[in-house]
Amino acid sequence: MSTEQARSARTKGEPLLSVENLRTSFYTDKEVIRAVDGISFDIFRGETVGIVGESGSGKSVTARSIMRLVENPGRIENGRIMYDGEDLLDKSPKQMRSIRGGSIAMVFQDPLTSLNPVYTVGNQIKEALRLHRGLSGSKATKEAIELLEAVGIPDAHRRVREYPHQFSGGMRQRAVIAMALACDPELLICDEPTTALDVTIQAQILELLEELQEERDLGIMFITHDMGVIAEIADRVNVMYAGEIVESAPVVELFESPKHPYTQGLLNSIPGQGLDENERLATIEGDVPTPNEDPTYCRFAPRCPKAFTECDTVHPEPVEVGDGTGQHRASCLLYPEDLPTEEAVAVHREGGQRGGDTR
Amino acid sequence: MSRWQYFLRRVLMSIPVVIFGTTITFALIRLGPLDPVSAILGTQYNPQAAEQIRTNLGLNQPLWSQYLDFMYELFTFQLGQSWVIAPGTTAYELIEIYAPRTIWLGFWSVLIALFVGIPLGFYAGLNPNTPSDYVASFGGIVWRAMPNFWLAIMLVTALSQLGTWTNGLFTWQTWIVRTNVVTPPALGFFQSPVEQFLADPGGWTESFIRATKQIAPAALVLGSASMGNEMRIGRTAVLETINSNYVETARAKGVSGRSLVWKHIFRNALIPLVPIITGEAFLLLGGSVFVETVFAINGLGWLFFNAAINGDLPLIGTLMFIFILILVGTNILQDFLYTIIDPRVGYDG
Repeated sequence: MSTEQARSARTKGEPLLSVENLRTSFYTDKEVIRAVDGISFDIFRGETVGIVGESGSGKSVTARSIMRLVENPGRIENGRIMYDGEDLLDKSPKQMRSIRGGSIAMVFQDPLTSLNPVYTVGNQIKEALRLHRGLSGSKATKEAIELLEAVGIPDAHRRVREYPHQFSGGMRQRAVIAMALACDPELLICDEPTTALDVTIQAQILELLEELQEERDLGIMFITHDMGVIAEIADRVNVMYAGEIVESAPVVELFESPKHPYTQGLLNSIPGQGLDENERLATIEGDVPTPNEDPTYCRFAPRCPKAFTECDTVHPEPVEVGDGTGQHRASCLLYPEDLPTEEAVAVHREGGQRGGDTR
Repeated sequence: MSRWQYFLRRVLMSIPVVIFGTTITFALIRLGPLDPVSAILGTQYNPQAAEQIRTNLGLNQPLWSQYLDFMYELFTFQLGQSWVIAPGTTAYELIEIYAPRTIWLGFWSVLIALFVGIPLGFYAGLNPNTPSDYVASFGGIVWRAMPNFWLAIMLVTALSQLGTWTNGLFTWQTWIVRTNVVTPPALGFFQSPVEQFLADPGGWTESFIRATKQIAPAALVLGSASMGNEMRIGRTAVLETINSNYVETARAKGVSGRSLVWKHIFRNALIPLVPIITGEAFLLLGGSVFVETVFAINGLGWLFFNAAINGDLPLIGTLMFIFILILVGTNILQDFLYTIIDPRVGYDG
């Protein structure tokens, strides 16, 4: 779907999935790590929402929180995950099982290990069909073959009886996608689905996802650390840093005028932007900090080239930074741009006092 | 290459292994320091008699012809006679007397290991880092750490003393059915079991229980180390599988807990357990020699040990041949189980 269409979809109707103020923490002996700390975003039907960020920024935990697949010692502590008008966090394990795979499906990072090696590909697709659509026997086999054909696996009749190790990497990811689509989900969560694949296969998978989205009006949440992939597939991008969303914008706007210093840093670190021979590629020094306490400061401040004193004492809240349509927000004390720094800081300070735990 | 072609190839490849093993056995017997003639004559040794026996037994024929005879007879299952332990008795008769006891012992010790060790390990793996996991894991290490010879003696002592310790309230000897602590199990009920059971169900059941009780302490000792092993490996295998991506994918697909465990975890966790189980099955052959001695079970292990120290050459050769067949058979069984469980098995990646 083009960005224009996605924009118009945004302005009308209810979002398919709405995450509000989600916080997921992991309890270790030493500390409590807030892997996801107070993030909010929406996904609309037919829209692809990208989540980018470096390793350890909480992207995958966000996905697993939505699926309620966070395991001990992890806990979802706060927030709401509204799907179809209902909070997924209030669902019983049984209700959740019928949602998983049924309404919300997930594709994982490594296609080489995402399929159970001791069962045929067909068997695993049929398992999903049996669970959510009650299909079995030759009906299920027929449906599985159709699904494999739909994701572009040639000779599906034969392939359906083969084991995962007889598939190549790209084929396996196609099979995993077929499995995810088996029960006509409305939302597809892709956790770095192309990271383990080489670029040509990566392009094919992205193309496949786009086609499927068009056909089935899927909402897609696409997690990656690859800005190039995001540019290609996403309609809207959320940039995550240390468990928080630091910037959220439509894809073109994000690439054309990134506002948050972190996003700017990320975009500057992409190779091939017409650098001179002797110029070095820009990097962001340091590592992502471990978010283990209530944020009372900007978590990016230690690495931020534009940091000033208040960054260590005031937690930035998301503020409108775009053309006034509310589509582009960044969490940085430098914004709103039209205000002098002190007033801008005051805006964030006030904003920080409003939010509280709902759970 | 398909899985079954692979399996067939493994079976064919075991033939040279049997030939090689038997050849080594022949070499050890005939080139070693054992002199069968002095073993047969014992204290009544005199050169004439010795020469006479040598001619009778064909021991002064060239070695290569002896080797060919040896191999030919074993491979056509003409297993010969005992020379020293029970002169004139055929190996078949001896095996018929001694083997059932060993099989009975091995059966129960493998069963204990399988049905206690593996479930315990799987349970611990499914509930990692809980108190019950700690208890099971610690128990596994303790079982694993107790050597057979020590455990066997301790168990015999404990069972014999139970009556004294409990002031006669409970004695092992009189518990359920009357038996001795150390004794060969009475396995007569296995000869035509169906007719015997039909003729006297109560009596047959009682002798079955008696034989089981007689073998229980020895089986527990023999199975204990394997049980600990299988528990530990089972736990690790389950933990590894439970954290694998395909299990997470299955969960994301909405598979319920029970089906997750039985369909997706169980079969994958069995793969590393197969060689452990079959490996222990033939460990029982060697281990049984000692346990059989302590518990006076007089099985194959005991027979082999006595044949060896008495220099009963044909009996050693025959028993070795049978042991080799059992070992190779277990290996084939292992390949068979692999072929069933894991579709990736094969020569080409």
